[in-house]
Amino acid sequence: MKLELKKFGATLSSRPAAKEAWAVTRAYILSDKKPSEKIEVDFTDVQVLTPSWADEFISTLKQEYPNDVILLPSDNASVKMSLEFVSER
Amino acid sequence: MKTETRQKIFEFIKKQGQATPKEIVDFISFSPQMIFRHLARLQNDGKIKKAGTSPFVFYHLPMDSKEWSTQEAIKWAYEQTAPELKKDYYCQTRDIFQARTDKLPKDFINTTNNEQLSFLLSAVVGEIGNNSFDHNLGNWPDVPGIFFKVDLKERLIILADRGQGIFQSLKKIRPSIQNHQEALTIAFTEIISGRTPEHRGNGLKFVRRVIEENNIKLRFYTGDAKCVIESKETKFLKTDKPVNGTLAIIEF
Repeated sequence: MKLELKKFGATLSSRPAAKEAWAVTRAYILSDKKPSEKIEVDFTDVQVLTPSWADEFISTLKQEYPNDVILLPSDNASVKMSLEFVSER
Repeated sequence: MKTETRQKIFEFIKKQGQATPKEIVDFISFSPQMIFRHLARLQNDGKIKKAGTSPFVFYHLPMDSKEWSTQEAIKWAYEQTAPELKKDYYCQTRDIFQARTDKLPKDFINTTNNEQLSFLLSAVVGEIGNNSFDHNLGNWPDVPGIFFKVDLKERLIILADRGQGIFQSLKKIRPSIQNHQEALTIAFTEIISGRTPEHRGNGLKFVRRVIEENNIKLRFYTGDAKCVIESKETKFLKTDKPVNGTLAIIEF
């Protein structure tokens, strides 16, 4: 399954917004996930990603599904750097 | 006598940063006509400038537009009693801040012609502004919310809050921290969170890296400490006058 983050907006910035996005994703999208099905996280058309948003959403997702999350590559500088910061901790 | 009064008016405006005609009249207690004559003379001599439109006129010392842009934020950050802010620059809640930051990438692209830099700058603004709300929500010492101004002409971004500041936030989880300067240094260099057990604390490290790598200038103040990032170099210094909460000035 593919998670298109642009559906949460082009600017993904605050922790409360990420928490909200995570709650919706878990309730309505991931509920359809089959066991061992991969989750592809797609950053296409996301312009701004902060480490706070990434920490709250991506880290939680990875924690919940440690073996299933695939972060699709992105050319966006804020996406790349924020993911780098989140993976560092 | 005339020169003395004029000097007194000039000193008053200088001290206040800006002053309305009523404030000047109340201070000097001369007839308004006489005061307006002095004000006109001071303007003719190039010592003061008049700004605003009636009935919201005020006088200020000549400043370049960059100084002018930061003036309000500095007052908001430093004064004991919070001055009233223009709605344009005041984000009382995170929703207002969020709505204003959503259009930033487009504005920055128009100014810098650099898409990737614009996205990074927008992320930096988001991190700093949201930090203010994350650490002070429900606990603002006096006025809630943040000052947020983007001056595209001067390529200047200013964010300020009258919150508890970084020292207070970090002291709770690391009581060994002694002062504002140490707290600020830790905030910009170590992964530490004032909101344990949540995993956070990357924000200002991210800010520092973006600023350093893209040759942007940042001055970040909290308490009596400041962090200056310029020409890819980061310095942590002590200041003479403490700021309420935090103040960030970004020049891009």
